[in-house]
Amino acid sequence: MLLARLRAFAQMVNSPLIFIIDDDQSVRESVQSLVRSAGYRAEAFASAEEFLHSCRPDTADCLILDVCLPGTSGLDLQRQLASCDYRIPIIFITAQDADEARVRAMNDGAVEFLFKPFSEVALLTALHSALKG
Amino acid sequence: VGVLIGVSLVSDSRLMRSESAPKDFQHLQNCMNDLISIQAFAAMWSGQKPGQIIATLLDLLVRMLELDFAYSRFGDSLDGSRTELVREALGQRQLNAREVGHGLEPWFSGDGPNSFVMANPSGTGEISVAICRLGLLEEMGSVAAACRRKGFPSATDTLLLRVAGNQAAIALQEAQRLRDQKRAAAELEEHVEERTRQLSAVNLELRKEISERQHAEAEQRKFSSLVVNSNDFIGIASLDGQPLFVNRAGQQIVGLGRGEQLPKTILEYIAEEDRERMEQEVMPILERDGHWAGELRFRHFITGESIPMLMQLFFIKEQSGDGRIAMATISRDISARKHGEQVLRDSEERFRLMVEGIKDYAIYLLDSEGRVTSWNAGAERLKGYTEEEVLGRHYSKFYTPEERAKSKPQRHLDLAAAAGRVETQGWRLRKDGTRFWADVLMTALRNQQGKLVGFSKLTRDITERRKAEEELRAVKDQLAAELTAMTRLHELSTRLLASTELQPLLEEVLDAIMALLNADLGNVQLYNQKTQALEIVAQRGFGDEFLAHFNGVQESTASRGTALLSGKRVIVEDVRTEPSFTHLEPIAAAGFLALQSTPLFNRTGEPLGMISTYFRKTYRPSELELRFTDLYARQAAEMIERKRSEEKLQRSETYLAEGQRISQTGSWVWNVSTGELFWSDEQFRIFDLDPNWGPPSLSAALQLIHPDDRPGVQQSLEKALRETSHSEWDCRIVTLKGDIKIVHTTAHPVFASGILAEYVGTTMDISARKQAEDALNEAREELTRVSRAVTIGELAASIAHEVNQPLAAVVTNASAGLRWLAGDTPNLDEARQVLRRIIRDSNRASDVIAKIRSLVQKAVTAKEEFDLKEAIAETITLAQAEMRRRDVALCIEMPDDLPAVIGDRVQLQQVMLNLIMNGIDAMSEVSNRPRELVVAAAQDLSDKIRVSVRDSGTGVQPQNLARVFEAFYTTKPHGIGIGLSISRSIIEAHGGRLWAVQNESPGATFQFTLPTHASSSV
Repeated sequence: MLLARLRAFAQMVNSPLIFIIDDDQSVRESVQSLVRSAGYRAEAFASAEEFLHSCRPDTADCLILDVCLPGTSGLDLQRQLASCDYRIPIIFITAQDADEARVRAMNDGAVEFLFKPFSEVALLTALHSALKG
Repeated sequence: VGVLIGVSLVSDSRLMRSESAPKDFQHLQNCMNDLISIQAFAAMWSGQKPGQIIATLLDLLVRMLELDFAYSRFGDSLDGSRTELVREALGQRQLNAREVGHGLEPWFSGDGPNSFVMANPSGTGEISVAICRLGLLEEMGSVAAACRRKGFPSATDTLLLRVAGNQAAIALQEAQRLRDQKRAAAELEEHVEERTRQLSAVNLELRKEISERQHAEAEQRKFSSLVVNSNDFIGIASLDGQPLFVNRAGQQIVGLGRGEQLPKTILEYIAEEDRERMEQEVMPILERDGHWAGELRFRHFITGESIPMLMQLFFIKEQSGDGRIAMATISRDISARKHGEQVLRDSEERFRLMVEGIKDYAIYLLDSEGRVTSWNAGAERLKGYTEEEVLGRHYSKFYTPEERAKSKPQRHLDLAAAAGRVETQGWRLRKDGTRFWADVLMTALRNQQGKLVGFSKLTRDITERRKAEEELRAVKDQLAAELTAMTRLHELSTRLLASTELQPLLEEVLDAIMALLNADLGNVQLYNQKTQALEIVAQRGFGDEFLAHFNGVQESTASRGTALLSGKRVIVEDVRTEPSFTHLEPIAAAGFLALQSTPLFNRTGEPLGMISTYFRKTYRPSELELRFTDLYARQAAEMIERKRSEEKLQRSETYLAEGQRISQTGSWVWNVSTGELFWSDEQFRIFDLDPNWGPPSLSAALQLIHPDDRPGVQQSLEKALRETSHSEWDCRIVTLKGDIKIVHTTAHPVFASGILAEYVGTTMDISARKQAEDALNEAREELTRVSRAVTIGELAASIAHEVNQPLAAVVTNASAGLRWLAGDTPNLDEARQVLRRIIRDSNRASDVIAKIRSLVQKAVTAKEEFDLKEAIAETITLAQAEMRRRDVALCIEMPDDLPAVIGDRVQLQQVMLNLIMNGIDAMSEVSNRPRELVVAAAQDLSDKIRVSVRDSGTGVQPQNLARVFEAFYTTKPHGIGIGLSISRSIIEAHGGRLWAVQNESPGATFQFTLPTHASSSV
């Protein structure tokens, strides 16, 4: 029991750090829970600004990013980070029918572009490939 | 002469009053004295020969006019000879009259100037010469007066010269006439003797040749002819005195007609007053001597006048020479000569009378020793001595003892003798011992040889004048005081114009009045309308005690109140004797005995207050002082009035400024002719300029207008000016700080006597209003946008998003939950939390669905009968701002009697708005023609209502006319192509039809039909 906990702790400390940015509280909380349940560390933010002000972007191993955000949009944040040479893998999620946004995001180097509601497998597969790549 | 002196006296009295009286008087007096001297000479000249007259004239002129020399040429009319004389001033080189005359020759001719400058014959340099012509036509000769003095001849010189010349001319005339008379008498005598001789000869001849009758008769005829044709009175009478013959001239002289019967006796020819003389004196001599000659007056038989005759009486003797046959006379009418003599006598008499009659001047003559030789009435009046008392006495008795002790009388004689004249002023004695202040002129009189013969004295009592002068000086002092007061008054009124403070001015007025009246205390009290009491606003010299007492005294009982109530000034010379002032004892104790209170009134006569002054001694101000007090009081009243009206004005100006500030409306006046601008304070505030700099020029003001708006404003202004009409415009202004404000400006022309004089206008800061309007417009557009967004397709997308979020969360949470529960050690806490979130998010999703359901339900149930016209009008209102912004002209064509329709008012308005906005969008590219949108509604033949929206835009390709209604078909860059699709669905849901047609002119028309209440119920 103790060993399991220690193993889990060690895994936690060494596991990748995933940042989730979504303005919808429900989505934010659910994705954070799912990512943690898969054994990753996860932190959630309601906007791009909150994320940029709260921590060093380069500490993130992956970003799960909503396309539509109040203030700086997900797509803009993607370009902003790229311009600063922060090569962080990004998985986009969106509730809208937004083909244009998808094309643009993928062209700019996104790992995956997921439409809400998305399946557990789709997200975790994308996450896995992002961390691996 | 009389006239001249008269003029002098008039001038004298006139000059007395003028400021320069002493100097002018002195001058005039000198002049007059000279004139009188000339008169004295004129008297002296009587009976003198021309040469003597001219010599004295020249002497007189040299002395009187202080000449270098005087020259005269004068003629003798008898022999035509010309005499020249020259007289030099004492000490001057003796001159040759002929040489001087030669030098003057060019100037004497004809109409030459009366004064000129010539080379000085008695020395070097030039000399001024004035010429005086003797006699009217210079027939008596001319006089030249030469003098090196600057300014010679002055007006006085010329006057004196002319008067002296005239006098000399008269004297010369007299002399000439006298000589003529003497000559005439001599000639007559000669003539008579000649006649007598002739008669005798004839007589002799008659006697000699009596025998030769024919010859004798011829001689007789000659004689008769001589006698008959003579101008003299020739008469023959019998020895007993009976007239036998009188010639024609004789008859005429005595006024008898031709052939009239002769009087009985020759005595009848003689004037009555001479008849006795004729009988007693003339006839005996005639009897004794055989002849008589002399003057005798004849009588005019018609008028009875006496005719002076120079008469020769003799006997006609027998041829033998002894026996007397008849008496004869040859007499000459000497009336004319007599008249001349009378005139002369009269003139002398007049002059004598005049001199005697001058009562204001003592005119008398002294001999060379100073003894009185003549004495006129004026002298008698002035000095009190009669002529008898004073003739022969020495004139020193007129001097005071002190002056006599100083030998003044002799000294004056010596001075006059040396200088020609002496003028003195001093005290003189009258007979009764009283003194008078005399003004004396003594002139030395010399005969033609220059020997001193005496002095003329002219004395005048100027005691009165001295008094008058002293009085004049007093008046001048008074005038100076008045001038000081007036100057102060003027200063006060000047300061009134400049100052705004009343208190110091009133104090100044009080000071001025106190200085004027020499008052000890004073105050200015003003009537307070509110408290109905007098209040001391300025005071001098009062202690607190008095001021306290003053406040206790009611105006009805106080002296000053009396002045105010009666409207008259109150003067109390002595408060102790004024019963109504006993109550003022405490004040009197303050130490004054007299007072004056002058009320102050405004222009309409309402009392303002009063100015009172108080005196420690009994005192009554003079009329003059009161007059000035009144002037000061009026000035004070003026100040108070002005101050009050200024305050009133200021109040109303403050109100106006406040009103302008609150309404953010500035006002301005532009004077069209001067270009001057007047700005109100608010105007300055709106333009954010400092009022202290004054208003800008018109061009500077225009520079403050936004460059884009400036041309428009200038056009508006020019148009208003051209048409002299009212004008209004909105424009942006840019303040110096760079702030932009929107202002609404009005300009209203003001005419003065029909001519445009000014523009008066307002400027209202409507920035806030504009902002509100803009915000309103934005809100409307937003509303329209929202309205458009809520078209069905967009609604669906929105619904999807709203539902997707909670659904996604639910799915993800569920996945996470499963994962937390899986594995060796399920994490129950996490799983529990995840499940709670699933419930929450599921509820959230169902809420969204409920909301949508309620929306849909509402959309479906909202069918009602409504006024389509009103609904269209409302929709147009929503789009109007957009149309204005995009420069679209709107035209509405709707009949008044459009029937009501049944349907969803909101949905149909959305369709209308969708069509209108599409129309506006379709014209956004149009710039070569008017952007015109026509919204029309009408009932068609099938009782349906057709609504159309026609634009002048780019139009729709014919092949696309049907496609535009398909979903997701769009020609707009940002459109989604769902508006017309939904619109068609809505119209069709209402039982109508929506379609599009291409216009004949550019653009397209979208129209739909709707069933009316009547058609749908069918």
